[in-house]
Amino acid sequence: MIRTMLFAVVAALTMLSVFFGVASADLNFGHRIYSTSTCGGAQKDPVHLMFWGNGVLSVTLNEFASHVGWSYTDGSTMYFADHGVCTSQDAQRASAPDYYWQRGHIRFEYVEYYSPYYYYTIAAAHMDWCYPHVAIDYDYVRDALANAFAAAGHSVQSRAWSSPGSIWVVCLGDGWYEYFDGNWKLIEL
Amino acid sequence: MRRLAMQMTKSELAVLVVVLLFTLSIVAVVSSSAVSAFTGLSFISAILGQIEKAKEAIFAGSGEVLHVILRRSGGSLEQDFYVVEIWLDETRGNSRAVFRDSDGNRIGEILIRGNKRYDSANIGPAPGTEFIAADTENAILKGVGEQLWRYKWLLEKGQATVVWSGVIDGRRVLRVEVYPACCDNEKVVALVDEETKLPLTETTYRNGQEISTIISTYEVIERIKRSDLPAGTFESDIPRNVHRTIQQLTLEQARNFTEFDLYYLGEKFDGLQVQYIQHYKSYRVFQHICSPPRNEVMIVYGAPGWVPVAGSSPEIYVTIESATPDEIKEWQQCGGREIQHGVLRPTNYGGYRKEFLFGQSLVTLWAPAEDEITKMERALQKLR
Repeated sequence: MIRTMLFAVVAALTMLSVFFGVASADLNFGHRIYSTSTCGGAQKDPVHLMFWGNGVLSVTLNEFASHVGWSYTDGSTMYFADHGVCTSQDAQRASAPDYYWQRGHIRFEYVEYYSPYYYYTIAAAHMDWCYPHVAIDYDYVRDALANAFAAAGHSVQSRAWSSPGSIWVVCLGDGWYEYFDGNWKLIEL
Repeated sequence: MRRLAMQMTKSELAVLVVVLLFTLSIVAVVSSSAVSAFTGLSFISAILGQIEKAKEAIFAGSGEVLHVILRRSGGSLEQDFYVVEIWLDETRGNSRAVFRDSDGNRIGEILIRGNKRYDSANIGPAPGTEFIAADTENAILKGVGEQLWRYKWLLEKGQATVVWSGVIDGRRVLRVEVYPACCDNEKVVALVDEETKLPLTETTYRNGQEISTIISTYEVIERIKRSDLPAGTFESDIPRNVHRTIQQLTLEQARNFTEFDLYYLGEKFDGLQVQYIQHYKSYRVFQHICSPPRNEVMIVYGAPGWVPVAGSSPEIYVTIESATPDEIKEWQQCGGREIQHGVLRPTNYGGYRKEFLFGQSLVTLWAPAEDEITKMERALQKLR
C-alpha cells in the first residue's frame, strides 16, 4: 500500500514537473533573424518554426531530411538573437544550390536553454527567388514544411507568435511588400 | 656577395629572407591576376561577338517574337547555373521564360498573360504567384524582359553605378556596381555591353569576398514570326496552380474595390500622402495543417518623393483584411488569433498597432509611436 502511494506521489510529481517544464520552457529568442553578427540593423526573415519534444539539432535535421529531403547546405550566414546573445545559425538546408534561380531555404538554431524535459530547435524558412536572391513566401514555405511533417504523422500546432509584418522586396524590376502573418508552426518530434 | 653575407648579422639575414618572401608572394599574386584577366578577356570577347550578331534582333521591334536562349554558368567552376529560354512578344500579352538546370529540369518559370505575370515556385505542390501589373507592357518588361535588360533599367533608375568604362577587344563595355535588395553585406559587380546593356559577367561579393561569378552566354537571339512559333510555346501549367495574388492598386482602383470595405486616413495625412496600395490574396493549398487563406489590402503613407527601400518595412500604414465570421472562426482555430477591437498593442518590432472590426473589415493602424496611432484613429475614414 505504502509502495503504491509512493509510486502515485512520484508519478504525480513527475507529471507536475513535465507540466511546469513545458509551461516554463524558455522562449527567450528574437522573432526575426539578422544579417549582422551583432543582430543590429534591418530585421530579416521571421522565425516561425519550432521543432520540439526531441528537438535537438541532430534529430531535427534527420527528421527534416527524412520528410522534406532538402540536402544542400550552402547559403549566407544569418544570426539569431537567442537569450540575449547574437549567435550564427547552427545549420541550413536548401532544395537547390545557392546560385540557382529559385530554391526553398531554411536556417536552424538549436536553443540550448531548453527546459528540463523538452529540447527544441527554431527555424526561419523562405523561398529564395531571383538572382541575386531575395527571400519571399515566408508563410507558404513554413506551411509547406509543416504540411510535410504532418503528412508523415507528426503533430503540428499553429500559434500566434509575433506581430505580422511586411518587408519590401525587389525582383525582376518589380517591388512589393512580402507579407508574413506572425504565426508559427510547432512540430513535435 | 659572399663577403657581404658573411658581414650580415643573423637578424639582418632574417629580415632579408622575410623581404624576399614578401616580394615573391607579391609577384605570384600579380601573375595570377594577370592570368585571370587574360582568361576573362578571352571569354568576354566571345560573348561580345554573340551580342554584336544579336543587336539587330534585339532592337528590331518588328512585332515578331524575340527568342533568346541565355546560358548562365559559373566562371572558373565551368558549371552551368541555369539556362533560360525566353519568348518575348512586345506587342501582345503572351511572353514566357523557362528556367532549367543543366540536366534540363524546369527550376522556375515566368508566364505573361495580358497584364498578369505568373511566377512558378516549384517546391511543395508546385504553386505559383500571380502578379497583376498596371498594363501589359509593364507585365512583359518587368517580368521576362528584365532577364535581358536588368542593367539597362537599373542604370536608368540610378540604382546601379558605372565605376569603369573602357574597351575590351575593340568593343566598349561598362563595369557596373549594384547593391542587391536581399543583403546588406552583398555587392554585385557586372560587366555589361555599353550599347545593349546586356550583362556579360556578374560577380557577387559577400562581406568583400567573391562568392560566385556568372557568365551570361547568349546561345540564341533571333526574331521568329508568330506563325512559325512551335505549338504550345505559350502554354504552361502555372496559372492553374496559383497560391497567391499580389496586385498594386491605384487610388482609383482602391475606390472601386468591392471585395470588402476599405478604410484609410485620407489621400493626405499629417504631411504624408498615400504612396503605395497593395492587395495580397492567398489561397488554401495544404491538406494536413491549418493554413487559412488571406485577403488583405495595405495602404502605405510616405512623404512626397518617398520610395520604399529594399529590406525595409513600412512605418505609417493601414491594413484592411476581409474578416467574415467564417474567416474569424478559422483564425481562432488555426493559432488562436484574437481580434482586440480598439486596443493599442506594441508590435514585436518597436512600433504600435491598433485594430478595429468594422462590419466584415478588420482595420489595423500601424505606426512607430503611440501618439501617431491616436492621430491616425482620428483621421480614419471609409475609402470611397
